[in-house]
Amino acid sequence: MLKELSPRELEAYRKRQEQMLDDVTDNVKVALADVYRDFIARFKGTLSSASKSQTVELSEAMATMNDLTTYLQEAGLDDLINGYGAQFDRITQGSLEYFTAFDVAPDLTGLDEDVLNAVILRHENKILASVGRELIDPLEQALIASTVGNRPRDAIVAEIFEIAEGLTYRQTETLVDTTYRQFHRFVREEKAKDLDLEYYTYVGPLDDKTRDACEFLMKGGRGDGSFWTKEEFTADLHPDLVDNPVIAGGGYNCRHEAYPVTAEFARENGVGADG
Amino acid sequence: MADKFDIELDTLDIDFSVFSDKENEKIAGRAMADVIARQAKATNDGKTVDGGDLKEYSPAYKRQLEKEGESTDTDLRRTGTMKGSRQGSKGPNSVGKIRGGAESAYIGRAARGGLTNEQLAKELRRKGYDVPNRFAKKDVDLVVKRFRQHLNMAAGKLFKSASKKFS
Repeated sequence: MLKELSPRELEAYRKRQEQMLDDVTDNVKVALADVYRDFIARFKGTLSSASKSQTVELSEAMATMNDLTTYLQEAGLDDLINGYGAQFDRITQGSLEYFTAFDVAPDLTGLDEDVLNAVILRHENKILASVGRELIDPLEQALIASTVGNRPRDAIVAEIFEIAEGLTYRQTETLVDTTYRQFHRFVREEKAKDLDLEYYTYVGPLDDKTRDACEFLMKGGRGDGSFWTKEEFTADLHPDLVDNPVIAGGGYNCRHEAYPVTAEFARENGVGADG
Repeated sequence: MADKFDIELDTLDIDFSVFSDKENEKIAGRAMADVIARQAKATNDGKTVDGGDLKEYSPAYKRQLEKEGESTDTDLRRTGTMKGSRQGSKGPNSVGKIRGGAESAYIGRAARGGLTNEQLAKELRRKGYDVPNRFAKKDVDLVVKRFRQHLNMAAGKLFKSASKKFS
């Protein structure tokens, strides 16, 4: 028969149990953090492998992450999931929406920012690499045909889709539209040089999809934040920028535009007299 | 022998180049660039070129945008090719046909459904959306200001007072 415990002994027992539970929980958390780190490392390793298609790699990674989330839930560690979720929500949301341009519709509620960026870069590089190898001539011909001639955009998408191996129709549309936008930006830039325009102002949506680099170009400059001198408006402005932002914006399929303007306009919008 | 004397004459040397078509085209072209940027910012913010609110998208189009995970705020952007195609041109030798001035146009045929960008812009205007292709009062004021600034700066070049000494 169990000895009856006094109130003081009961309190001491409760405290010991609580301490044990805390220790166990901490250990589990540490172990799960290790699992998570391992998952990230394996995901990055998977990304560096070119043996499988991007979509398959992404799906596998998503499945692993979902498993991990389930494991955390079953372990009763919802607060840990929430912690990850809060940390990665913004970038996840933006990235997942971004993937629709690549015909990928992943569903997930938490991924490391670096990993998602790596996935995005891999997708972009894959498409841009194929553009470099096979599609530059047809795309240039298409641009001429639709800009100078009267070839409809949809016909050009279909034409490029026929010869672009490995691209879905949606990806081809994105590629053609990106090419058009970059061409129009190039034209605008040539005109800006002719007019000796002194500043750029960066315009476009600011939402969950907006890249860090684009947000910086809209907020980190002069005046209202969107003004930059033509000398400083280069890819050196932000580590995520790879190409000239006047032509490429913040990257592939960018929704933003850099408009060249006069120094007078910049001053009228808050840029100081000292430039 | 006549006495030696000096004559001083003030001369008015007018530099007519400041009134040339070429000069005017450049001022107009620069002002047009400012107008295009101002109006692009307005549209991006859901505003007409006059500062009012852009007409809301239809419920059906909003549903389509929601389904695609896109914002339903009116910014007249679908793929971005029409808005990005707006180009200012100066003088009579490019897209522009105006001697001594400038104009803008939506160039190319990048719109979905086989339309040119200009046709798409026109179609949207027909549906009541304020796709920029006109000067609001703000823009007229901006252009006038640019020409005034130019004339003020040119004033020093207009009237060069010089002295010549005869003896």
